[in-house]
Amino acid sequence: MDTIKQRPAERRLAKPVMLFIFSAFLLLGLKDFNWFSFVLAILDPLAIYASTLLLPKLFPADTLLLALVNFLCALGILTLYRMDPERGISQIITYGIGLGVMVMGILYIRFWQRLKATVPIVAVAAVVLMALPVFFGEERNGAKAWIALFGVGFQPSEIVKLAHLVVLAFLLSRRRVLASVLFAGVSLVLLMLQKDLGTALLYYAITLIMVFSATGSLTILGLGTAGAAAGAVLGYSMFSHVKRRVAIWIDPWADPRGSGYQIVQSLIAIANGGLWGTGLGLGNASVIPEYSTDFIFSVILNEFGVLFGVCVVAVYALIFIRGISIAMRSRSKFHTLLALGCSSFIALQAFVIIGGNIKLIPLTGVTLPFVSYGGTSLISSLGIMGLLQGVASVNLEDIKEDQMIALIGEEN
Amino acid sequence: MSGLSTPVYELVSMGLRYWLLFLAVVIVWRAIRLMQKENRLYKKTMRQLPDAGLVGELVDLETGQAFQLPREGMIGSGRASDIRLPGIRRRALELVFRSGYGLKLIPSHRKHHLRLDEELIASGGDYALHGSVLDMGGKAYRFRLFEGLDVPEHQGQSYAPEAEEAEAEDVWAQQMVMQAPPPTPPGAQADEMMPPPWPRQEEYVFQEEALPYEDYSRHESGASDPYLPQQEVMPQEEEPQWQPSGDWEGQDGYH
Repeated sequence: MDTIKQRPAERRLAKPVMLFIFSAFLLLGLKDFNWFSFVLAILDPLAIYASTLLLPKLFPADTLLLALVNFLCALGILTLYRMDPERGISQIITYGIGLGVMVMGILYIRFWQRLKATVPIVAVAAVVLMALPVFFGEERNGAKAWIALFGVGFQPSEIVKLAHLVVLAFLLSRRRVLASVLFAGVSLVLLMLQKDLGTALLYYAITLIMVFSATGSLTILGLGTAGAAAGAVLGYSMFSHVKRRVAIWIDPWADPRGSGYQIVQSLIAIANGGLWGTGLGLGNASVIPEYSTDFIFSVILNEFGVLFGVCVVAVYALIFIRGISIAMRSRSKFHTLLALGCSSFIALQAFVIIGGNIKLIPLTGVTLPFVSYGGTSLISSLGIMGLLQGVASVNLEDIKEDQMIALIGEEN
Repeated sequence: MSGLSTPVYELVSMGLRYWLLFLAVVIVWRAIRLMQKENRLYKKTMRQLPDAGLVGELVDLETGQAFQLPREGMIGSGRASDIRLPGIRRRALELVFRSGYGLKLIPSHRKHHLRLDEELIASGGDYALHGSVLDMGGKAYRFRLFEGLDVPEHQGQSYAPEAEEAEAEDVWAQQMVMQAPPPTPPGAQADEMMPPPWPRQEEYVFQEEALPYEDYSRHESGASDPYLPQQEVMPQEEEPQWQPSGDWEGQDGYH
């Protein structure tokens, strides 16, 4: 009987990822003979090799997802290092921490039967953490979403994403729809109080997707969509910065040196890159104010070209499809909902920020998962991937168990 | 140390962008191929494992109809239920398989009348094992869990058709043994066996015509018929029994 196991094809997938990052760092090293670039040209592919091919030897994991996520992380590190080496190095350290969080996420799901008693603690901790910026937060870019703890600044709403997914999946798998909606509602109110509308939008959409998937109720879907539309209209009429963002989205050229400066520069950078890009290290996207966070996709399009950007979008699409596939193969409702929530979160966040960068939708201040600069964002994205990997790991073990049962049945 | 001159670097970088794009395309292409390959392998594995994701079946003891039991699911009459049964609530009972414990049954309502092995199921849930009987909606259902699952044995009278069949076969085998001729001792051929040393008893032939009808008909009181031949003619205790010799005893598996 065939078994699903690691095959050379996965190694063949990891190889071009390693080769890509090696070539790119080698090129950056040749620019100014910076020894650190050469070190990264060796170390980064080794880290990718270890996390893609050696990690699944410890416990069953989805190597395809690992390879794709590592490619995006490596692309982020490369782009940030090229724009600002300090940020690149900081991102490398965060990537290492994020890998640790990912492993913890895998273990949390693998030992779910023992650890599910922690869900009430996780839920309370999430609400407390989310409430902290409302009282002690510092304002950045119009949102009061940051707090400093022991001298380290971080965004609690990014960390709470993990708790949000786990708690919602747990409650909905037990058909406690009202409790899950209440929990999500508290998180949303706290996010609105922080004026972090982009993150609030993501939380709302994910809650709606998960509740609809768990209940299959078209009424809930209709009410949720109507609520979102009402919220959008209300937000537009209540918050002046929402009005401004919509106006910029409709016509950024109305004020190209003022409110529309960022999006105009982004569009110029994308156009400047063209189909093939300007070449690594030859771009001029650093004129975009938020090039390392919100507009990193524009930087990638500028230096690597639109065709490369299409590949990046395809990678996100593949991660989403793979996540849905993992959700559909799951044997329990909790795992199904969790995998669905994780993959939807990553895909939706990527869509919102990429759409904002290319002026498809109004810009909201969220990061590009795995790529953008930001410790909390990268750690939370890798944590979400850890939860998804955990579900994939449980699925692989379930298949092994089924095969064993089938073998026992055949013997008898 | 200075790096490459700007024109050379520009040339190398602009050339390398095609290489980097090629690698990105290769990554996407191989990821798609790998995904397709894994999907095919998964479907093939699932075809080989038709019971994948199931832990057994729930058998209606009245009709014999069997419902497949998922690892997690809901029993009820509603559309959203995994096992739909008539005459019960829309969501009557939740099923969760826990390795090492059994199939946990959690009633969806506090005021329920669901019984597992003749005991009311606790609101927090009780574990069903292989052979457990569930009384639900005026009907009885038996849980049959797959072999190979890590589940403790049922302490009560378990329902195991395989065991019943085996027992029935065993009884049949014993009857066959009793009716079979004595086994041949080791080293001797069947046709070489000596006849028993005692004289063979003649079989009693019942002479039906010799008796009037009313005499051999059964008494209404149920008392044994005095004309029954076995009681009168064949005294079992006096009949000598053939005993096998002790040197091969136990080798045939009957003793």
